[in-house]
Amino acid sequence: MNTLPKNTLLFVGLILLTAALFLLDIAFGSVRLPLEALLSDNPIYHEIIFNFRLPKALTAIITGASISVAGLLMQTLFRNPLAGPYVLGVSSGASLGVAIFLLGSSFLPIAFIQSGWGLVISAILGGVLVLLLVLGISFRVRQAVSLLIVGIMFGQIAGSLVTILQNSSNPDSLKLFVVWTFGSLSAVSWTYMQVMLPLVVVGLLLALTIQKSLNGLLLGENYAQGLGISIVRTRFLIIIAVALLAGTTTAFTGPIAFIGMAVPHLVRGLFRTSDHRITLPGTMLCGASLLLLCDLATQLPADGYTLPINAISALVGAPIIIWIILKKKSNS
Amino acid sequence: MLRTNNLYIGYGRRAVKSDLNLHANARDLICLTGTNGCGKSTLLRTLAGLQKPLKGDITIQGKSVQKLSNYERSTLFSLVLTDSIDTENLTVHDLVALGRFPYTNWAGSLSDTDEAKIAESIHQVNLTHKTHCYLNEISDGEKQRAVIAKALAQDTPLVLLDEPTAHLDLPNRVEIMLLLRRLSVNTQKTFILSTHELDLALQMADKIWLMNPNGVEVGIPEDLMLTGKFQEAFGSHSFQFDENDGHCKINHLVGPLHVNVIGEKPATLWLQRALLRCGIQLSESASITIEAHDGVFRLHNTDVHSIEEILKILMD
Repeated sequence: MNTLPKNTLLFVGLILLTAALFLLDIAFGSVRLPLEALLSDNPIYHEIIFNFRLPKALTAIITGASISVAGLLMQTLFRNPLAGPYVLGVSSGASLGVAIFLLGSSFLPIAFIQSGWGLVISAILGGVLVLLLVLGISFRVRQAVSLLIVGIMFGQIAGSLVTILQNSSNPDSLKLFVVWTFGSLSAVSWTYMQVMLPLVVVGLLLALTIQKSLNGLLLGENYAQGLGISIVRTRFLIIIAVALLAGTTTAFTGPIAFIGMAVPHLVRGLFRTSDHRITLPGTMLCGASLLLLCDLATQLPADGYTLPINAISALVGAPIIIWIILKKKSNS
Repeated sequence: MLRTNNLYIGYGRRAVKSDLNLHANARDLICLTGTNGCGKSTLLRTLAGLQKPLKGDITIQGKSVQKLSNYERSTLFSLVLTDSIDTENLTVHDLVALGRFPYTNWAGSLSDTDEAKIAESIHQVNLTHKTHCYLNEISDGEKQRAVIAKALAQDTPLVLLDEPTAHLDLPNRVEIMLLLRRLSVNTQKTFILSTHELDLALQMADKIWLMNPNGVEVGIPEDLMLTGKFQEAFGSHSFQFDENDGHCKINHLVGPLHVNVIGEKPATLWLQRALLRCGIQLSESASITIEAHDGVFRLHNTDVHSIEEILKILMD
């Protein structure tokens, strides 16, 4: 087994990369801080670093890892290289859930809206709904690109419903929703983190516990069944995990495009394996680094102005999709 | 070993085959054959537990398959299917390692025993030199052998194969069948495979399950030939099984021309085939005689050097 040292090296490299990007993400922001600010006890520096940049960088790590693992799970479940939470409309479904919740719930007590739980639950429900619909259709439509189109259509439908809701809602909740859709890693305060972190950790642990079955699914459902895997149970667990990971992170950061689809491909290419024992942790690290990188890029304009994260992530992820389609074409 | 009792197979309410009572013994190589759409795959899928029987019961080593857990089932039989495996970045070793799935812990880590079994399985299908190759780098025949190695690594007394020779060229088809023949002798396992390869099935199988519209005929290939069951099942105007060697012969369209062929084999043999293909009948009383001698054909007192030329002369 001469592949083991190579993988260990790659993992160490990825961990160092993630750590370096994490520190950079804290050090650089829309306000330039001197390096010694990290250690000083100036209350303004302290506020910026501990209550703003630290949760934001942590959110980037958590979100990047979560949506990428969600993408990996979906690609294995659908046996489709183009699957991912954003591409197949799970993020759009979560948006719809959030829209219904924020825009249609003027009669709910304000405390419930602000607690974070309502946001999460509606996003997860919306995500699961679309995931089940797409899963149902995937049994009829096997072709990669057709399923992609179906996912995009679901995204459009969810988008239309959101627009209709927007037209008939009050300005305050409309503003709340519009801000949410821009996608932002800085929206997660320590209070929200207390909700987001446990849910995401449960999702990631769930993914890790089913990695053996995921490897079996690589051969297709019939072979997997022949290996003694319960298809129904595994499929159910995958959907729960995807909903927890993609639903929760989307609820707090808004939809983040294409990262979830692109990262698993980067990892499989990097490690030259489809073994989930490698690709799951690899995807977590790679996803975290990539989103940290995207977050650093949003701060390029500097001085009090940042770009929306969604714009950057699409800029990174979309070319990878084009590359995969072209590669598939040349293979067949 | 494997036994079915009053088994009804099919989809929904429609039974494709009813009241099947089949059995397979250890070390048997059984070929399941029949025309397209006669229910070969349905029977195999039902035996494999991929679809439920409509009625009746399947037992392996006396245990009813329907009552087994997924795990128990996966230790009793392994599958080789027609489903394509197009996963990127999967090596032969990775694929065969998945065969150890029922025996590994929750993390799927491979013990020394597992690794030894994997190496042995890969060796049994002669792929040791390709162990660390990726599946998209090897040929279709090698890929099929890798899938068979996966089934061997699963270490089950029964292996079910759905059309294992489909999409392969002739040398690979023969190779796979010989491999299965050898494995059934060496490993004590029972192999049940569905196939269209009548010629190969007749020469390799211990037993044939011949599916015809009425049910399933069971027997050794020679008995089924002798009693004309094959001709019955594949009943068709366009070919028949040769009474001399059992190979399938196509019934060609025939024309009015008759020719007598005499001389040495194999020249006469190929000439006869060419004549039949062109609708020229063979008869000893024909007025035209062609003699083959020393690689030269003699027709109308002239020497002709190729069969193509003979055909040209006769057709004019």
